[in-house]
Amino acid sequence: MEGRPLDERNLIASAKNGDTQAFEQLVRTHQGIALRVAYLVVRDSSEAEDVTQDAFVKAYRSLDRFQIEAPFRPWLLRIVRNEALNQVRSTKRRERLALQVTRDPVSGDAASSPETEVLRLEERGHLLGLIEALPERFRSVLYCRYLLDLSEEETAAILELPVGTVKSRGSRALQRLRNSFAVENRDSK
Amino acid sequence: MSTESRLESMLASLGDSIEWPEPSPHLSTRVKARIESDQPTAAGRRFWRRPAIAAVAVLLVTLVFVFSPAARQAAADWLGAAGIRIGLTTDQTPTTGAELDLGEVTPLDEVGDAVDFQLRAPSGEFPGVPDAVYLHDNGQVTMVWDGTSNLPAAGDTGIGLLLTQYSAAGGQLAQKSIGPETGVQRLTVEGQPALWIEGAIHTFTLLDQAGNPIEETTRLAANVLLWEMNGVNHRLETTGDLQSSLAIVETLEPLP
Repeated sequence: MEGRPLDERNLIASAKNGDTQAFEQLVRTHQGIALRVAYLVVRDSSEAEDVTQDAFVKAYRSLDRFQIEAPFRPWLLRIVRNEALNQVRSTKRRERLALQVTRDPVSGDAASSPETEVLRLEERGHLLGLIEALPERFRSVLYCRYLLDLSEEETAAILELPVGTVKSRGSRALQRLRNSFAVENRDSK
Repeated sequence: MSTESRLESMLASLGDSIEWPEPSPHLSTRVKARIESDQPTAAGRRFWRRPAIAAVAVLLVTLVFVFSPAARQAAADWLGAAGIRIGLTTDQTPTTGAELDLGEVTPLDEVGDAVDFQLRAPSGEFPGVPDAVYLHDNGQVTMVWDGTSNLPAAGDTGIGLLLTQYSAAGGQLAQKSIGPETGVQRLTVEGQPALWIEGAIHTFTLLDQAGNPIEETTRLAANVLLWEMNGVNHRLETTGDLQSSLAIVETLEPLP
């Protein structure tokens, strides 16, 4: 269950009553992760921004159907994802730009040499490539769980799947990644 | 460090390594301005700029319903699905699977090249790869899944699920005739207005733009989900419930 501060619930209640400033505050709170969700689908920064903007507008118009007790973030992100999918379908685009790894989150470690950091970046880029090569049903679960750092419950809500399916797909996706890593390690020896 | 623990460690911090876009400083104010002025979404504006869609929408508005005009007008108002219209009938004669007349069996990896719209197929484990794919000479593509213990066959057809797709702008109209025992539910599918029809046998008639029948197929169908997406009409017929149907829709992906 998503932990939601009381003031967010108040903001949602105000927005449901037509308070656009309250909704603007909700946009500021969630725009970062919303943009990431859109970007994962459309793979273009400016397009993702347009999609995110459209999705927020749709969410506002749908607020009357949102249950105030329900988690807000997954509800919102589901709208963002669907809007992004619609955008990709409407342009009939088939190719996807690859995600880029640009920094090592553990850089600065005193024990790390520049060579080690380059190696880490290469490893992460390679891992990302393995995830990107997975079938969509596995890839989308890993995106939500690891790239967006969402809970299993949030992932289930966004992908509109049962939590059990998210667990099983996540488990199978990890197994595939482990197998790929094991094969590569064996080959490199 | 073992391969497994290194993998999990890398996964845990992978999101922090990605080159993510940052929201523009004006995103929230733009959203606020739009909801205050109640502008249509950018996607909506793009949609209505498409001449074919606009033309079909005009056609839909001008359609004259023969039976129960008020009910059908209400349905047309919220259906908004290009090329789909709804009629009422008391003719509910079931047919067998042998009379489905879905066209020629065509390999899944070839059928996309035979139509002028982007064909999609479920990508999830359920229902899996279609047991057969048919291409009709009227341009309709139908994917067929045999009945299973989880998805009983409809009547004596042996079929548990049909997914039919066809161009909404191709000059064809699918008239959905609904008997008195049928329940119709309004809902949103893929962000578009949609219909969920359950509880009785349906009669399908294909009409050309002038309203003349060009093909007529009667089939046994327990439940039907109808929606239009990106200029393509979708008709999902299944013995399954609405939830399982929506789960299938969620997995639809364009065929390469």
